[in-house]
Amino acid sequence: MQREATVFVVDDDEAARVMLQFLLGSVGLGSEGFTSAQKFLDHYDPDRPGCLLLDVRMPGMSGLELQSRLACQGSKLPIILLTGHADVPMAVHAVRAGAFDFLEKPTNDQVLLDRVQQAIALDRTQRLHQAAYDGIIRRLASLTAKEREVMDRVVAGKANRQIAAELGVSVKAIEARRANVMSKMEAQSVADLVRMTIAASAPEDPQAD
Amino acid sequence: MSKPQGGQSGERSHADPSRRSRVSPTSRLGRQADVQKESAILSELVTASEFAFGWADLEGNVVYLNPAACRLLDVPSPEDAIGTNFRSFYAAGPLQELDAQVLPTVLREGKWIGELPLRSAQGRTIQAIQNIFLIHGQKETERYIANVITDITDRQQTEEALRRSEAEKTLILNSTSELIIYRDSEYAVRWANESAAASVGKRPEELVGRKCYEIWRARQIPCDQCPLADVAEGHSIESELVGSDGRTWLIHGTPVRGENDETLGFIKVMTDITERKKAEQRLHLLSSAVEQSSEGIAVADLEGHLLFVNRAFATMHGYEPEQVLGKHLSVFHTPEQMRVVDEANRTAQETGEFHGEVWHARRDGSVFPALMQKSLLRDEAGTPIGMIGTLQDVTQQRRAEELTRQREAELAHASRLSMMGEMASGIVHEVNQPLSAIANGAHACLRLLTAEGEGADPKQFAGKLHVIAEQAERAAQIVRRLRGFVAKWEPKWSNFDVCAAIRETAAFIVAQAREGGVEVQLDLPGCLPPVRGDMVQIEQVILNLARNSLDAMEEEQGGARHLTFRASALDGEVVEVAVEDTGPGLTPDAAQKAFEPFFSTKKMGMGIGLSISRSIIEAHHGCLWFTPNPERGATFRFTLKSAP
Repeated sequence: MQREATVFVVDDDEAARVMLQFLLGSVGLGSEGFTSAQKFLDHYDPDRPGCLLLDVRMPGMSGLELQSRLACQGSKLPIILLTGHADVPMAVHAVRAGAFDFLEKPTNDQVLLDRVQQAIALDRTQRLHQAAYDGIIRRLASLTAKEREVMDRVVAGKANRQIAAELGVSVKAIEARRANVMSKMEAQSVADLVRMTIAASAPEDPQAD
Repeated sequence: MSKPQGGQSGERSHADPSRRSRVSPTSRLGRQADVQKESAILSELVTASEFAFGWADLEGNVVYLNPAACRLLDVPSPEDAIGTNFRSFYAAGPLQELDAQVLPTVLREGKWIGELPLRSAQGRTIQAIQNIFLIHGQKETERYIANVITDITDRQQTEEALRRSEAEKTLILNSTSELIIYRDSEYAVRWANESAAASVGKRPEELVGRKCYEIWRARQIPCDQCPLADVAEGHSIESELVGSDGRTWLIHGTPVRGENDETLGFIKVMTDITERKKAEQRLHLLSSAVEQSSEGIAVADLEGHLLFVNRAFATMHGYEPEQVLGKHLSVFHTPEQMRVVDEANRTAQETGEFHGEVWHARRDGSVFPALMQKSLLRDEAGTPIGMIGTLQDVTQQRRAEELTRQREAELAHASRLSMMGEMASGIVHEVNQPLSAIANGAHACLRLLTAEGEGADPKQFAGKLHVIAEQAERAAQIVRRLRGFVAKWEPKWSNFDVCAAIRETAAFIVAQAREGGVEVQLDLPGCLPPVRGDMVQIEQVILNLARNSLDAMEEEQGGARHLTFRASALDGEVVEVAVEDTGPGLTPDAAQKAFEPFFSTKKMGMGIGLSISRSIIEAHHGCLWFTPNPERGATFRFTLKSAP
């Protein structure tokens, strides 16, 4: 279910937006234009991959405001902010708030396209990570409480016998539960299992600080 | 002639002792011939005498009337009188007095002398003094009443006329407001008219006999400088005197001389000239004011010939006053200026006045601007007789105004530069929008054109290149506007559409408005009369107001933000521009000080924007003010005069 990435372009300036989309189109990137932040929000679908090219200065909701609204909604869509006149405090604020980049107009087309590509790639990665994480969480959730007890101890590096002694059940029973865990968690090895549990406990976006 | 003879003998024989003694020298002639001669003479005298006399018996029967008496009493002749009763010569009233008083007195005392009117045979009234006395006939018992009549009718009429004339003269002298006094050489008033007496609250008769210095100066001795002192030497004099009440008197003294040229006294006529004096002083004041005025003042007849000019007027044009009298106004103007003057004169003659600026020429040919005020002069009947004009050389004023205008323009320019500095961020953004579009579009085209094999659609290129061209023009326009706004610039007045100025200004602030999330609205009518002024300065004012509004709204939380520009024609001559915002409005303190220089509610504001804006608008003969909006925010408005 991998969808085509879309570059969402939000700029109230008709010419600037059209030309930006034209440029994106010239390298085969699909784009969608919005004349205001509000219009984008109205049509926003978190499942659609891609990135957001956002003009900072707009009447009504500004670019920075839209950025914080999206963050509140838990959106991880990479945002490249564009401004005609950047000032350092504004750029710092934007990047701290999770912006992928902050570019000054007029931008070098190559830099812009590179950053758009990188943002799309990041989004793709994020979405993959997210999908993997979601799988682990889903698989973890499918474990019974007893299977979970066993898994925690396996991951901690304990031998079956030791686990059997701790839980007061037979080694055989532990072996059966361990096989279930490995199967439910779709783990090829204990190392695999360990990686999954680490991922489940720390699913943070590498972009966030 | 027997009767006179009898009378003569009677008189001689029976006259009273005094009379007898008077005639005694005659009787002493002693001889018969002498007696006859004397009798004839007496008879002649009686007949010829102009004295009227006669006698009658005690019953009143006339015995004799001499011819003079006959003439007086309208009796044809002495003969006709004999036998008539002398009482018939009295009217009823006098007759009663005759019977009741006169005759009894005569009988008792022998004589009566007095005034009693007589009535002639023809009924004329004769005023007469009658000397009635008893005479004796030849017998001692024979008594007659004699009457010597003196006709005083004419004398009485003369006296009456004299009295009337006297009264008339007094009336005349009393009717005048002048004080008239006749005094003798010893200062005693002999006669005074009512005005003279009224001046000291008295009746004329109360003044008579008193000393003039005592009456008018309350002194015991003659005044040190008696105005009539010279008159005593025989001259008429005229002098002025200020009384203790502050009134001014003109004193005219004339000596009155007797037949032998001796001085009998003096007539003193005093005229109260206080008001005349005041009027003279006012006139003097007025004339020196006119003469010393720094404004030129001239009076001309309706044809424009000068009747009067003051010194300033002459000097202003490089002349002496006497050099220009009688000259025509055109001396002071070039033929070209004269057309304006003729127009001004026409206005003055039609409407009664004119004022305005008119250029004048000096004697040396140089010219100067002057503020001229002309009024029509009319005579008492209201007929125009000429024109009076005042003139003020306004060269210095104009120069100062020009300098002020220059300074203000420089200040406005400095303010625009500073404003542009503050707006730099917005302007850069504004320029970057089209540049960004151009760059992106151009790069896109390049990529498509150089892409391997992929045939790009020329139609697509055409559309995009069109946008690129448009954006290039847009960027150029912003740069042009900016240059026009900050370029070193001289005041330049022209007729322009204020809506165009508003659109230009709105374009300047769209960047700042966008950043602040403010929606800019233009509410401009399709057609407005053009206004007169300096378009850049007016744009500066609009821009300043708009930026104030944007700054104010930046601090405002929540709610839609609107900045609205409006323009409307108030009437045929005034156009109003309004800049309306939805900000917090002005605090009372800010409202009070808004137009003061260096007052600002902004952290970075210098506080000169509104102050400069107001001086710009006032230099355009308009007003700049603000009103709070009914809901929120404030509206700043200014007016401009539409182009004539």
